Amino acid sequence: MKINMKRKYKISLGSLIFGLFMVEHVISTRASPTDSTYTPQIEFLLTLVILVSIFIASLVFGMLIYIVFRFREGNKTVRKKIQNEMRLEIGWVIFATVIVLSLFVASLPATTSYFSEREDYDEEILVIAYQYNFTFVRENGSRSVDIVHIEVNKIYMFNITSIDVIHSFYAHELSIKLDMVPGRYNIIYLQVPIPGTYEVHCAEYCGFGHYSMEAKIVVK
Amino acid sequence: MRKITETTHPPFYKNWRTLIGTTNHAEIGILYIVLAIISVFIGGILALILRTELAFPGATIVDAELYSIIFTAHGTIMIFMVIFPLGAGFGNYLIPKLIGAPDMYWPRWNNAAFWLLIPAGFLIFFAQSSVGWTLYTPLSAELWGVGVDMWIIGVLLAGVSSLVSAINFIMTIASMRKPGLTWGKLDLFSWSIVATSIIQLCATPLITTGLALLLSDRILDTAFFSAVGFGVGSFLWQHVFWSYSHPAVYIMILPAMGLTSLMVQKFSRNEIFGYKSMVVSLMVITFLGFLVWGHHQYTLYGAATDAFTTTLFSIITSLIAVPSGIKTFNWLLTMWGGRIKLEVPIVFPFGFIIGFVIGGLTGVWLNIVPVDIIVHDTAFVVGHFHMIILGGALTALIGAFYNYFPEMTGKMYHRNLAWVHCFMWIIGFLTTFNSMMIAGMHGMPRRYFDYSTFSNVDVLAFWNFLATVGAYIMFISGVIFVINMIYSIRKGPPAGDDPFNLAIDELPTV
Ligand SMILES: [Cu+2]
Ligand SMILES: [Cu+2]
Repeated sequence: MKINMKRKYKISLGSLIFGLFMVEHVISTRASPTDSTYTPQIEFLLTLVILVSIFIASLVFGMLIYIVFRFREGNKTVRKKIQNEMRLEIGWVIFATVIVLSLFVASLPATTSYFSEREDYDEEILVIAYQYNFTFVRENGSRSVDIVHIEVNKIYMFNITSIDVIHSFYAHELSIKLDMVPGRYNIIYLQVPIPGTYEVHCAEYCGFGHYSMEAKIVVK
Repeated sequence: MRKITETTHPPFYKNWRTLIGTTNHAEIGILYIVLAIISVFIGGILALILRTELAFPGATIVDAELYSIIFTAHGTIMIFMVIFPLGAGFGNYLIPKLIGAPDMYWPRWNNAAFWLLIPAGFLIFFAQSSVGWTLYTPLSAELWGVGVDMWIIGVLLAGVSSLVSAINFIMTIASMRKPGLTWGKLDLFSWSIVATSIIQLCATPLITTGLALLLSDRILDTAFFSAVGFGVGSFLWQHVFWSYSHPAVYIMILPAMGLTSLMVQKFSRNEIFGYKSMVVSLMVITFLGFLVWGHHQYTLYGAATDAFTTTLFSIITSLIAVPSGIKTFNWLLTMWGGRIKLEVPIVFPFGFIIGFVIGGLTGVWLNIVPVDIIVHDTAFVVGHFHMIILGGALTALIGAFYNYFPEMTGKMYHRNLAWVHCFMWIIGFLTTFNSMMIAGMHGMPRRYFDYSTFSNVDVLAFWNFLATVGAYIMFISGVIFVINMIYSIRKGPPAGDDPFNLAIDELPTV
């Protein structure tokens, strides 16, 4: 529940940039816990990028309001042209490049962990998508449609594919999303430390029934 | 510059021969703009249907099939019938005047480029294609029915139109500048049209080829994009599609940036700050824009496959933030030390800057691969690109319309109605698209017709409802805009030579 609270705050922090809405009641309305082994890294990056955005947005909007207010027609103020045009430009280029590149570097560890192969998984689960269901096939050959039961803290390799069009395996609370492409086997590893029922939805438009395509991951 | 209502007798639009046959660049420019205004209402009503459907959980006014048809038509109409024509329209209207040319290089081709859009628009609107504007295969290659074929032919026509006008713009600006107007003195709007035309020239053949092959997959049973082995067909389509459609984002936004430069300069009565860096960043955006399409595919590869490609696209994409930031910074500093006349045509560009900054920063979020993994294909992405395209580009283009309206018609618009439009529009788009982004962060996938089965349905319902409220605010402001224009053309006061009382003599008067 702790980590869940964090994401709630980040979402409200994100909306603060826009300075438009109070989202206190949203914080109190989100129901289920948010966690998988990917979650902490992603939450960290989300915080980082939100803070950087708030900083830059307030800089730009602050400048906009200040300049318009000060230099509006009829206002008495010193109207001097800016000197050192070149130095300002170069400074800004360096500032922006450093910020975006450090964000990129900060994201690398999480990206690599998301994309790297693991040998130490406990079970492989084959997930087959078709319009508009998910079928889960276990190592022992048992099948289930739109629901899968897994155990807390065990590492599962989800081997996902589709038999008709592209779908996407999206479990918001577990911070995973991976496209299910016909003819291709995409792999994602999942380890969930908190028991609960997590929703899976299809994230890639796959036909009229796209909205109704959902499954549950039950963690015990 | 001829004022249409004053000097053409009778006005070109009163006679169908001159309406269809006109080769005058200003008249064609106005035709483009009128087409865009009509289309934006068609696309806007479609968007309102979508938003009304989503305002409450459960099926309310349409069914899933109609919903898919509507979001496909909405996206395509807004791109090919609204934003592209507005860029071409202001280009046609202004470029010959700005560079001192009598007309465009090929006036008749110019006319043909406009009229090609009309059948394209009808095909796209009546196609009832339901595969989304991204046409992901194998769905789009296999979906039964003639709708997708009609849609493809419509977009092919629109592509030909944009290719013709791009070549025309490049030739006009390259060879018809008045003596003494070197490239280094060219205004920033002409530069932005040069950049836009280069993108159109290089990128449109990609989508044309792609669509032609997809059509052949559908009609002749070839398997360019429907090949299933290892997912190659789907992968190839996504690469072809986004290698056009990412640069296309810049086709939409660069003319708006150029117009913003002109308007900021004009209403702050100051020279542009950092002209050279503006041109260089424009060209850097143009160049980098071709190298970043892979950022639409971060969730396409799973573990142990393609971390290299992903990080490569991620690093190039993050670099685009730099020139975009420079441009924003320069617009602000252009106003430094000026005398800013607060009129509607300068407040709309402020809206552009707000939308562009929020949209640009959330673009940075989307480029952080692990963050993208949770928000990709959700309402967050939809809110993000609407913030850029509508909150950014369209807002600046509306501002430009107010700016040139007195010159086009010889009449002044009703100022108070224009202010109402301006503020309702900016508040509307901020409400709608911020709410959509927040809904996306709460896990609302895009292209969902109903979210009533979600466990956090009440949160999603709240943000979706707020987004719908914003959409209605925008739509009402649009109606006010049209009322204002029709009223002002008929009964507005004469605009005179200096409608905004700027009293500029030595600075650019455009
Ligand atoms: Cu789907
Ligand atoms: Cu892109």
